[in-house]
Amino acid sequence: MNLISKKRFGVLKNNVFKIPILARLFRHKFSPIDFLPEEKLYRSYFINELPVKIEPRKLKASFLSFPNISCNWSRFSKPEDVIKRSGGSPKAGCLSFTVEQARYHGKIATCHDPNPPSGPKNYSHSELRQLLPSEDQFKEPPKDRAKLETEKDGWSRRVRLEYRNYIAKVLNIEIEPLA
Amino acid sequence: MSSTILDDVSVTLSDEVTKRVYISSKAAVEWMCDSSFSNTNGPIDRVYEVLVENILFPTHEYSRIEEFSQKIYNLEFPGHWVEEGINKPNILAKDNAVSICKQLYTRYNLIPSSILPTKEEGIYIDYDNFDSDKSLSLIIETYNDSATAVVVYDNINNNTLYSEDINELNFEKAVRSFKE
Repeated sequence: MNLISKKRFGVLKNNVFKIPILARLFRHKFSPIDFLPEEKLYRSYFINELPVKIEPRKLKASFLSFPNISCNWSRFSKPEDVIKRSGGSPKAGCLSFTVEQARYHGKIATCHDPNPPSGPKNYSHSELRQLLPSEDQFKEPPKDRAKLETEKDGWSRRVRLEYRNYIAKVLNIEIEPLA
Repeated sequence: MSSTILDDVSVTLSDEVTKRVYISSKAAVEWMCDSSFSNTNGPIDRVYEVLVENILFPTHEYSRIEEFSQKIYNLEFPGHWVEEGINKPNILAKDNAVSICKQLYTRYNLIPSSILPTKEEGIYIDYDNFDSDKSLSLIIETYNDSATAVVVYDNINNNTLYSEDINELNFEKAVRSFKE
């Protein structure tokens, strides 16, 4: 009886938190499996991160760094939110990539990290976290894990560069930055 | 024509002179390796290759290398990266970047499309190949701790064709994949 109640509660909870306003109201923390592949992740960038004197001025892998890349999750955020957020810059632009692209063949977990204590209040705040080869992309790895950059962790420098370059090549510009 | 090697390297050298310089460089290096230098400088072939590159390199091409160097040593670093705690490229990364540009230019005639500081703390260099129906990029990053990585990327099919953690700045396989 108790088991059935728990199961029913689980189903109810999942349905309730599909409604963004309720999820936000109850400050529900989603798990990596809740991110849909086609959902977007937004991130700010600045004009001085673009190469100069090269047309078209496209972002390169050089602007992106690991670990723990912070993004806004499109389920709870719009592109302009990354500019208007507290501590954001009106000169910043906004770029996006999809959850599927961010996961990069299961090497990255997309983790909901609402209202991080170190930053401004932001319910949509999410992080891209590196996974060890033994870890599941749908389970949350520890926050603030040290940088993974060795062959044995599956993240040698070339793998890190591959990933950063891939994101730079597939990203979409949502809002152009100002000079 | 042959007497000007050291005085004016811009003079075009005949095949015969090239051959002689090659042979004498090799002989000199072999002599150094046999005597007090021992063989600590790496394979003899590589050492005399470097000597020949330096002796036979025409002056007008030095200006191109100088251009790369100027760019690398005077790179602008985004101000907000400093606030985020990102370190600027150090002298090791800059020297390596110059060596990489020089090597890829002298050996493979490759000119970088962009040279940038990287947020991973070092220097980012990329090259484009738009030959025939392809659109490939050769991307290199050399870091403050002297590590170097290379990726060859297919921009049309959006996939990585080749990647490597580079040892001793040997880009032969990467360039082969890039130029194929």
